[in-house]
Amino acid sequence: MSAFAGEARKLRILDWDIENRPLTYWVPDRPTAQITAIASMWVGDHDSLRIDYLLTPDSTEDDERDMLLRFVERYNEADMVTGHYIRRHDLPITNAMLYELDLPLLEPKLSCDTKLDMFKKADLPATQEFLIETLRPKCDMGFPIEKFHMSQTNWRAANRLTPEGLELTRRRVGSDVHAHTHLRERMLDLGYLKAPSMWNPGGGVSEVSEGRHR
Amino acid sequence: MTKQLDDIALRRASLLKAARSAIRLRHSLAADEELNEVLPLLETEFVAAVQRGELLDVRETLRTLLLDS
Repeated sequence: MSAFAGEARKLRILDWDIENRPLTYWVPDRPTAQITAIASMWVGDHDSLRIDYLLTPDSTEDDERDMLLRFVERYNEADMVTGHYIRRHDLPITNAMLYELDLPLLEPKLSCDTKLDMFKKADLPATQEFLIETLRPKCDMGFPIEKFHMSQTNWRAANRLTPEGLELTRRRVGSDVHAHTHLRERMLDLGYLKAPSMWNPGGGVSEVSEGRHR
Repeated sequence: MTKQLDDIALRRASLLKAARSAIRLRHSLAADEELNEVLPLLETEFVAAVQRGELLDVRETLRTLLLDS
């Protein structure tokens, strides 16, 4: 069917976020990363918020593969993905984890990045926390919109994967996705976002990628 | 005589060719003007719909935003 003849249809937009921890020293100020959590939610569907990936002290590499693939399955269903700074953080780090764990790379995807697609500005932060405080988005379901603040002590507990730390990570990643979906709505209402663009993982034709060693 | 006819025929052909070019240019300039006005609006509408999770029907969108306006 040609694009001209296609009927109107709903697009599935996946709002998502990762948390990661430093794993090894690589070069000064540039540690390697390991994902500790991934949360995602279909835009417009609060019930769909879920955490596919939560690294625990007992997680094996196979567990990591399973958790990543659960998220990738959802990613593949999406027409577009959205998040804050995803094109330079969440997407490439996830792709790197897939590569490390010998799994197929991410597919190219239309992406709306609320940091990189924002209007030009200077001398003001563009963190999600600052944007939420400034733009004050609302949730139509009445859930609080917060950037769940993590102190350095909290981050250290989270990255040690202690039971308390895991709970902090869960709260952080879930609330980030929920807050982001409403922040994005607000930014769209205000005309602050430019057109979404394709994110391509590179590495050739990723649709036929089967992992490194197969 | 032949020279005169040739002159007339050439002049006629030249006039019609120039008129054809002039009319095409006039419509082309008008088309450019309209395209410059309409295409950004269509693109804005399309992108806004995508951002809100809707992929527009091309024919319906053209009918609504272009042909009926």
